[in-house]
Amino acid sequence: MSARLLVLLLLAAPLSAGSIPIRSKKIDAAVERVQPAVVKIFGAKGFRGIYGYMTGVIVHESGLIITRGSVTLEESNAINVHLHDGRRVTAEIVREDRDTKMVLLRLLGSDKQTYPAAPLGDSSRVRTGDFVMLVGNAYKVALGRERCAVNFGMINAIAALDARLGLAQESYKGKVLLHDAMNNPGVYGGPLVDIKGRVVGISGRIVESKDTNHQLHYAVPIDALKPFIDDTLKRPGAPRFFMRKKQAKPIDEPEAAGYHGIRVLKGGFNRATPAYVDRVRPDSPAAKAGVRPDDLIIKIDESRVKSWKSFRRIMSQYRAGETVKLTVKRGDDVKLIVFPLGKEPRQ
Amino acid sequence: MRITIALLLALAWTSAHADELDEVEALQLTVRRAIARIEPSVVRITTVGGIRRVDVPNRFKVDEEGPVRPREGDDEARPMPGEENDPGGGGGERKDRTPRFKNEFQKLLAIPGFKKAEGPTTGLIISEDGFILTSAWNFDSKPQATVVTTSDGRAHAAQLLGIDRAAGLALLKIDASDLPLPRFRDPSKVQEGAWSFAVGKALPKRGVEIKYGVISAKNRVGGIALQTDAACSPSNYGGPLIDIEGNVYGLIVPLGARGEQTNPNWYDCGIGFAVPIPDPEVLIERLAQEDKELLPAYLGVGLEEDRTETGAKITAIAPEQAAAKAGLKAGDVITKFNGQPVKNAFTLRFAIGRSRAGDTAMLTVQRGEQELNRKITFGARPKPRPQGGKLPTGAKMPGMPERGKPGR
Repeated sequence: MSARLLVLLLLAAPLSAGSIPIRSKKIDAAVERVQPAVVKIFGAKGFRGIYGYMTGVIVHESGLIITRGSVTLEESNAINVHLHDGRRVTAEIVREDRDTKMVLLRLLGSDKQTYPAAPLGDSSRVRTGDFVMLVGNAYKVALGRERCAVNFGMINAIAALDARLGLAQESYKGKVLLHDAMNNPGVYGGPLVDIKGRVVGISGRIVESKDTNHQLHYAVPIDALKPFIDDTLKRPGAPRFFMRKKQAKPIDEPEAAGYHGIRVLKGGFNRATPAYVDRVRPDSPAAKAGVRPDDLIIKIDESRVKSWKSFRRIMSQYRAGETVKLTVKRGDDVKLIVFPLGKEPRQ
Repeated sequence: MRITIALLLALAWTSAHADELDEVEALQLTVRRAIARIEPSVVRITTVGGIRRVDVPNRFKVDEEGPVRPREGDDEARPMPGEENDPGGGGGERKDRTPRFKNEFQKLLAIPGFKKAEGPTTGLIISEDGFILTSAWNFDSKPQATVVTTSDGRAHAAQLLGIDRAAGLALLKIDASDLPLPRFRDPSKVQEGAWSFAVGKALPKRGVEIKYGVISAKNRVGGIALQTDAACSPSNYGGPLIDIEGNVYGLIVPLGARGEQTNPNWYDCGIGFAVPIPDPEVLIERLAQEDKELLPAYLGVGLEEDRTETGAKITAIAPEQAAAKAGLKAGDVITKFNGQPVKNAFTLRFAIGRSRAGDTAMLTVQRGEQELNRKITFGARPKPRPQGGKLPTGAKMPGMPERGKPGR
C-alpha cells in the first residue's frame, strides 16, 4: 500500500504542473555532457543526393570518432573534422564495419593530444517510450564554433530491421532503435543519447520498411558497436574490415537449395496470389512433417510470405540440413510445422 | 493512520530526492507504465492474398525482382475513355511511353519512394472471448486469410465480421478466451492538448511501437473522431490511441478531413484520427455478423450555411431519399434531433455523422408556425452517376470501396 502510494505521489508531484516539460535541468545537463564530443564531418560532395557533410561522435580520448560510412568519406581526399571549440582537424578512416555500415575515424593531430569523449550508455536497458535526443550537423546550419542541433524524440520501437535504402537492401539485420527525433540529412552518424547524456546508438540513414513501406528513422544500438570500438582500440594494426564472429557462409561452393517437396499453386500473371500448397511429393521432408495440399503458407520462420513468388524466393535461400518453421493456415486453424530440409533425390 | 505515515514518508522522500528524479524522468517512467498496461491487449494482424487495391503502372512497381518494364497493350497505363489525355476514341493506340494516370493519387504512387503501404497492421482486443477491432483499411483488398498474433506470441486464424465504413472500423473474431482487455476512457472527458500515444504492432516482433503527441482536436470528421499529432501511418492503423495512463481514447483509423480514404501524403504528417469506442459491447452487437456493412447515414437535404443558432434551414430536398420519404420540405427548419437542440447546419451534421444508414431518429421541424415531429430512417448516400461518359467528381478508384462523405 505505502509503496504504491509513494510511487503515485512521486509521479503526481512533477506532473501536476502542466505535465509537458518545457525545460528540464536534466536535459540541459545531458546536452552539456555530450555536445563537446560531437563533431561535424566534411568530405566529398557533388553528386545528386549525396551530402558533403555529416556528424560523428568521439568515443575515445585519443581521437577515435565513430560515424556512419558513406560515399562522403570514402571518396574524400581529406576528411575535415570540426571540433566543438571550432578547431579543424583532418582525419582518416581506420576501420570499417560492413554489417552496421559504421566506420571509425582517427583524428590526425599530435599524439599527446586528448579530446573529449562521449560517455557510452547501455543500449540493452533502453525501452520503448524512452526519451532520446539526436545531436547532429543537420543541414550544415551550424558552422565554425556553433554547436550541433539537438532533436528531441522518443524510442518508438526496438525491432529487427527489414528495410531498404532506395532500391538497396539495408544490410544490418540486428535489432535497432527506431525513434522519431528527426534524422535530417547531415545528422547521419550522429549520436542518439538518453536523458542522462549517454550515447545509446549511432544514427543511420532514413530507410523504408519493406513490410509497411513507410519511412523509418533508426539508430544502431551502441551495444552492437562496442566490440567494434574495443577491438580497434586493442589492436591498432588490425585489418581495415572488422569481422564479427558469426556463421559465415562459404562463398566458394554454391550449394543447391534445400529440398522440401512442396509445390505451390502458381498464380500465372498475378504476382499477388498467395502461397497455397498445390502438391506435396510423397516421402519428401514436407510430407513427413505433415504439410498437406490446400494449406496456405503464411510465414517461413519470421518472414511473411506475401505470394507464391516470395515463397519460392525465400525457400531458395535455405540449404539442405537447415530447419524451417512454416506457419500455415489449414481451414480455420493456424499450424506450426517444423522440419529439416533434405537433399533433392535423384530422378 | 498507516496512510498518513506513508504520506509523510513519501513527501519527505520526494523532497529529499527532488533533484534526482526530475519531470522528464518521471514522465519517462509514467510512459513505460502506460505502455506496459496496453501492451497485452494489442495484437498484430497479418493478411495474406487479396486484390491489389491500387493499380500502380507496371513500370513503377518495385517488386523483389526489380522494376518491370511496361508491356505492349498494358492497359493500366492506357488512358480512360473521356479522360483528359485520351487521344480520342477511348483506348486508342498509344504513341509515346509516358505513363498516364487515372488521377492524382496514382500519380503520387508512381513516384519512387512513395509507395502504398501494405503489410501487417495492428488491432485491439475488445472482448475477452476473442472480438478484435481494427481499421477497415486492411480489408478493402478482401484478403484470403487473416492471422492475428496476440502479445503472448500465439497465432490465431481470424474471421472478418462486419465493417463500419463511416468510422473505418472492422471487427474480427478469433477462437480464444480470457484475453486481456484494455481500459477505455470516457470520450466526453477528453481534453485538447493532453498527451496521446499511438500504439502499433506492425514492426516489432515483441512489444509495441509508440508514437507520441497530443490530442489536437475533438469532434473531427463529422464529429466522430479525435485528431492527434502523434504520427499515424500503416504501422499503427487499427491500434489504440492511449492517454498517459494507458487508457484507450480510440482506435487509429485512416480518415481524411472529410471522411475520404487516406493517401500516402498523410502518413506520419501530424494529422491522425482516432475513433472513440464509447461502448465496445454495442459495437460488437452491431457488427458481429458476417459481411455486415455499416454505411454513413444520409439524410438528403441541402442546408443553409450560416452560423445563427436558430436551427438548420433546409434549402433543397433530394428526391427518394430519407428526408423526402419522411415528408420534409424545403423551407423547413430542423430544431431538434432526438430531443437534442440543433443550433445550425454544423450541429446537425455532427449528429448525422454519428448515425449510420438504417438508423432511425426523431426530427423536430419548424414549418411556418407549425412544429412537426418526423421519424427519419436514414439511407445510404447514393452512388454518383456517370455523366456524359465522364467519371463524376468524387468517383472512387477501381478496387476501392464506396465511401461517401459522412452524411448530410
